[in-house]
Amino acid sequence: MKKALALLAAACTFTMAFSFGACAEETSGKTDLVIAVDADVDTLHPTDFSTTVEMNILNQLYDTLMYLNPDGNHEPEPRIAESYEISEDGLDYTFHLRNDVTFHDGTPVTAEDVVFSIELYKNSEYQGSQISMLSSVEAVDDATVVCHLDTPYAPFLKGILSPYICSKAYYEADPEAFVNSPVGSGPYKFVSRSTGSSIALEANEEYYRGVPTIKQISFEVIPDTATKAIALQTGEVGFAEIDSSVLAQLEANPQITVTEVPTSSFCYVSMNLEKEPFDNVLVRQAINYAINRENLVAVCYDGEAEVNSNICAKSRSGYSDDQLQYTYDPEKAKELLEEAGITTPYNLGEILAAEKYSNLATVVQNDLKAVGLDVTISVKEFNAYIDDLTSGNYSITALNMTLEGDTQNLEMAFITDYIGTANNARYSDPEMDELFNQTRSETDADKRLELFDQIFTKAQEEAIYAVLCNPLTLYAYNSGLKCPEFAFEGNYFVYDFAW
Amino acid sequence: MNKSRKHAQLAEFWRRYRKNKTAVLGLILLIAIVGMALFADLIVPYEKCIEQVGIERLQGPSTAHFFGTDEYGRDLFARIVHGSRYSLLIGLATSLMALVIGAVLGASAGYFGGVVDNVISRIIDVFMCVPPILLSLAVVAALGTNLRNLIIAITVSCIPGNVRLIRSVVLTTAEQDYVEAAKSYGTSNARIIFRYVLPNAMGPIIVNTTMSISDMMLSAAGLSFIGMGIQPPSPEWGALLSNAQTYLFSAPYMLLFPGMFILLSSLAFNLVGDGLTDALDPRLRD
Repeated sequence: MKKALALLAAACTFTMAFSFGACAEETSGKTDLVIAVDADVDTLHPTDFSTTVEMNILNQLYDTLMYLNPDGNHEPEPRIAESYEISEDGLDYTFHLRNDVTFHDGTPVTAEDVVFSIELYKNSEYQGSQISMLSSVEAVDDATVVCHLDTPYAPFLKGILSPYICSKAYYEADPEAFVNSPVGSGPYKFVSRSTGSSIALEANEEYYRGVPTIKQISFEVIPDTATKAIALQTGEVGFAEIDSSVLAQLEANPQITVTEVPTSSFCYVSMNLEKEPFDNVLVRQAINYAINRENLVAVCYDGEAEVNSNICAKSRSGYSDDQLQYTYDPEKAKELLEEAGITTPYNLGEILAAEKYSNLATVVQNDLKAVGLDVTISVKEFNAYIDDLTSGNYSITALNMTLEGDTQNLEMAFITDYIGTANNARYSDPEMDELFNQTRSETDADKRLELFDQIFTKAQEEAIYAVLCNPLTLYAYNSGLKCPEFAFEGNYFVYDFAW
Repeated sequence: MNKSRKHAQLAEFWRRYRKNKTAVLGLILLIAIVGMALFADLIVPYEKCIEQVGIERLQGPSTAHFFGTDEYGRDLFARIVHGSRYSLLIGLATSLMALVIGAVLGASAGYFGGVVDNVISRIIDVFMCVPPILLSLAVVAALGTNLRNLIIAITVSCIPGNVRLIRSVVLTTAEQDYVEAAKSYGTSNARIIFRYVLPNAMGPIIVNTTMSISDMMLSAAGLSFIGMGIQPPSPEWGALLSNAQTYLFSAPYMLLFPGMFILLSSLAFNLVGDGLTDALDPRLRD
């Protein structure tokens, strides 16, 4: 067993490196698509899901009220709802539904189903927080749904366009089937699932936006990065999200196209502001200057990340080039440390890491050492790591986090209420809390942007975090497959694909 | 036993060991690897193996970097040379610890028999039910990942086998006439075990321990490979291997060299172990 583990790994070098070869394949006229995913799904429940894989599959099965393209001017595209209105006071959101939308079982989508779906979503412990400010939702008639709020909440539209619309009658008839063989109104119907290996979908011929070009989709579970890359090259898999470590290999293959999609997810160094010396802003600034972000992106992401010291991604509303950007400047870092009264070499103690983030910790350790700050790496099992991180039982760590959706969601990293969850710096400042309170209810877009500008300017000047970069999502697919440009954050809809 | 007799025994042992050519090859390999670990700092300074040079990342073998560089731009030759310290330390420390604990438990069980034997053997049976790698994983998961815990984890997984072996050897030795004789003099149990029983049971134990060193090294490599080994940036062969797997296609040399060293050192210990078996076994004397 022991021998098997280590020797097998060694043997892999010799066999795998030479055992694959790409083979040309005629792809035009194909109507099926195999998509490789990292993990099996736990559930196909339209609201109680939690992983990206689950969301990617549900995106094909279900439709939402409207589609909010994260790119461009954020004008919602009609889906089940044709149009919407927001009342003057910002408290009522009215949606007008199409009358030609049917579920996969043939029953029409009614206002009652929409109300049911929104309520299910709001009560879901997995997704509900996005529309927690919804006080009630009602069906005025068969084609009109109104959502009522108690107080105006600027990013509400984004939240209310997230729930998948599902059938109330189907849920009431068989709650178990509702989860295991979902019936939606989306472009694809659920066919079968083989636990741990694959999920099959087929085209919904009655789809109101027109019949999809790709007729069959199979989601195959392939957890190993290298295996997935080989499957792409042999044509066994048509589309997959890939890891940057196999990028060079896939880009060299003319039959594979790789697309980089910017995301709002951010890789950062979190310092516990309750502990010395991180309570000193000069030290935090010094750490910001000490890290060579370009090198880190090259080493940990094989270049597939955008260098950015701002917690707000460059494509996200609220970002501005006027907000301070920290660049690599070890001399300045040393000056700041001196100013802070730190005599180097100074021992910062342990840098906490989880196995998946240990490469970040390794690079950060090296950069900090160069300015005279010594840290030792302590790798913990992931759940233990998260425990220590959220309970503040650490002094410095490096990790990756996603707070997607409206820019408002970045409040989780800054406001007092989120200490113990996503505010890992344990930062607490009444002024910051108040700023985020204002952006929450400010409905004027320009004023809201101004407030966000104040927030991120403040966050950068106080160097609350040392944000390093925004990793890109990489999609690799067969060059015969036509995929439209992927939007910011990179959700994909197979409906838009064609061979 | 006087000095000259001991000396003659040793000479006889060496004469028989020497006849086994593969065993001699194993010994040479072993000396080379141990030498590398002992003189690692003279061969290449430790700083070289943690120094990250961003612009030199993922370079193939060259005269500047004999074994190439990894994704951080660290010299792999330096990492492998210094990694030998961790790998050997783990192999030796765990084998010796498991030997000592195994000897105490196994000898007690074998010598006293009865209730003592039953209690020890049944507990060992329970441990035997769990596959060794799983046992190590459980211990590492409970104690946390660092070098000390890794050594404890591997030792624990190795003890049951040792106890079994030593117990069975002691069982036969304890029935010999000289043990009976010692007992009739009123010699204390401890003295009988350590003075008469264990030394005469030493042959198979030495062989087993030598062989187990390579198993332990592979175990450590295996645990490091799945991320339960020592902390970065310390080099360890298994960790190097694990690190390299993501670059399997673009930089296969990263996997090749650590893999080769794991293989060679494991081979060396096994060959030496085989040689010792032959040299120590009285039935094979010509």
